[in-house]
Amino acid sequence: MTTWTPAGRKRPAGGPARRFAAPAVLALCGLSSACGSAWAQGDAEAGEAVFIAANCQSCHTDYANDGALLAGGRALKTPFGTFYSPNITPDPKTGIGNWSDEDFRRALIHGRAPDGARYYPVFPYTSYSGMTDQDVADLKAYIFSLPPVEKANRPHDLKWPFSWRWVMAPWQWLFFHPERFAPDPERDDLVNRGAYLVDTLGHCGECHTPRNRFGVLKDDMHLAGQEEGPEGGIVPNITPDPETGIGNWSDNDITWLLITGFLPDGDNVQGGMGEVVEHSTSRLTDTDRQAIAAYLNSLPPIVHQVGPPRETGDTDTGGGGDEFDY
Amino acid sequence: MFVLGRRTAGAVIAGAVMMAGLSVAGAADEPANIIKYRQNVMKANGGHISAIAAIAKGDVSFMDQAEDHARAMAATAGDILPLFPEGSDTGADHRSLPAIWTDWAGFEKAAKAYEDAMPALVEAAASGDRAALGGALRDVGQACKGCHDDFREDK
Repeated sequence: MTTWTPAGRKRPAGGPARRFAAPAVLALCGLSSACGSAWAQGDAEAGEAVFIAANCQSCHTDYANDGALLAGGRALKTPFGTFYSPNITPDPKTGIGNWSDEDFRRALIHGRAPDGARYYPVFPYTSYSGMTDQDVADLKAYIFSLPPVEKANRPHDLKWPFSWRWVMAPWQWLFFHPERFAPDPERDDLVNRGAYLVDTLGHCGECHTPRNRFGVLKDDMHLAGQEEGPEGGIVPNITPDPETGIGNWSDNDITWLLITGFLPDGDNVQGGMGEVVEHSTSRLTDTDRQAIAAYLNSLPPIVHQVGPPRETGDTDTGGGGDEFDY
Repeated sequence: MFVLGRRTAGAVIAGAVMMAGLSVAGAADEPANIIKYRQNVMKANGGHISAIAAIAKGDVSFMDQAEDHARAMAATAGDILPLFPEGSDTGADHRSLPAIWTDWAGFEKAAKAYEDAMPALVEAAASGDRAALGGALRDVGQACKGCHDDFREDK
C-alpha cells in the first residue's frame, strides 16, 4: 500500500559554492571581454524537478513501443501532420550530446536548433521561452546526467505547407515573441508559482488553449479547451467557468486529479492527460500542485463548451459530457 | 487413470453451467440495454470512488462510511467481465473498443487487476487512516486506467 502524499521533493537550496557561482562568473566577466553571458551553473538534482514539471519525457519517449527514455520517435498526430519527437539523450551522434549550454538555451528560449533551423512549435518553446536561466541550466545538467541512447531521428510527416521548414521563419517572426516569465506583483507567490508551472514549464496551454489556422494559440481563449487536440482528442476547458469549465471544482479536486488522475465524478483521465498525470503532476511537490490549483482557480472564467454538454443532474465532470459511456 | 474428484467434477460442471447461463442471458438481452446497464454500473463505481475520494481528501469526515463504499465496489468488481458479452457493441453510444473482444485474455487480465486492488481498498477504508485510504484508492485508479487505456476509446 502506498500513501497518496508523495514525499515532498525539495528543491535543493544549493551549497555556498553554487550560491556564489553567478556573482563569481559576473566578476570574471567584468575582467574579461571574452566572456559572453553570465551562464548559470546547472544542478542536475534541481534539474530533475524542472524535468518533471516540464514533462519532457512524455513526448520524447516512445512509450507505446517500449522506447528508451528520451530517445524520441514518439508519434504525435496533429492537424498539421504527424510529428516524430527527436532523441534528446546525451548521445553525441544521434542525440544532443554535442550541444553547448548556449545551444540548449537557444532551443528552449528561442526555438532554434544549433544549426539555426527553426523548430515547429510542436516543441513547446513558445511556453518554455518563459523559463528562468537557472531552470534551463539545471534541466540541461539533469538531461546530460541520463544515459545516452543511440537512435536516429525519424523525419516528420507533415502536410504542405508545414512540410517546408522554412515557413517557420516567417511564422516565428510573426507569431513568436519570447518573453521571460515575470511574477505579477498583484498576485501572491503561490499563484505566481502556479502561473509559471502551468504556462511556462507545464505548457498546459499547448493542448488546453485552442489554436488559429496558423497554429498560434488564441490568447483570449487561454486554457478554454479545444476539440482538435493532439491525437484528435477533445481537450476540456479548465478555466473556472461553472457551466463549461471547472468552476465547480475545489482546489482539492484539482490537486486530487493531479495526483491520482481521478475526476471529481470518480472517472479517470486517460490519453494525453493520463500521461501528464503519470509522468509529471503526480510527481510534483504538494505545494506545486496547490500552486497549480490556486492559479487555475484565479483565472478569468471563459464560457466555452468543448464537446457535448454534460447531462443535467450529473455530478461535476467539468465540461465533458458523459464520462461513463463505456 | 485420471479421475476427477466428485467435488471437483461438480464444481467444473456447475462452472460450465453458470458460464453458459451467463452467455445465454447476455445473448438474450438487447445489446443497447446491456450497454446502458454497464454504463450505469460504471457510474455507480464512479459514485463510490468520488465518495471515498471526498473522505480521503478530507472534504468530508464520513470516515465511518468509507468501508461501505469500498465493500460495495469490492462486491461488484467481479461483475465487470460479464457486462461485455460478444455483440454488445451496437445499439447505443459507447466507447468500448473492439480490443475487448479481439484480446479477451488481455481484457480479463485488466479486469482482474481491478478486482485484485479491492482487498487493500477495503482494508484501508476500515483502518480509518486517510492517507492509507487515498493511497489504496490511487492504486485502484491505476487499475481503472490499466483497463481504460487499452479498452476504452479516448475522448
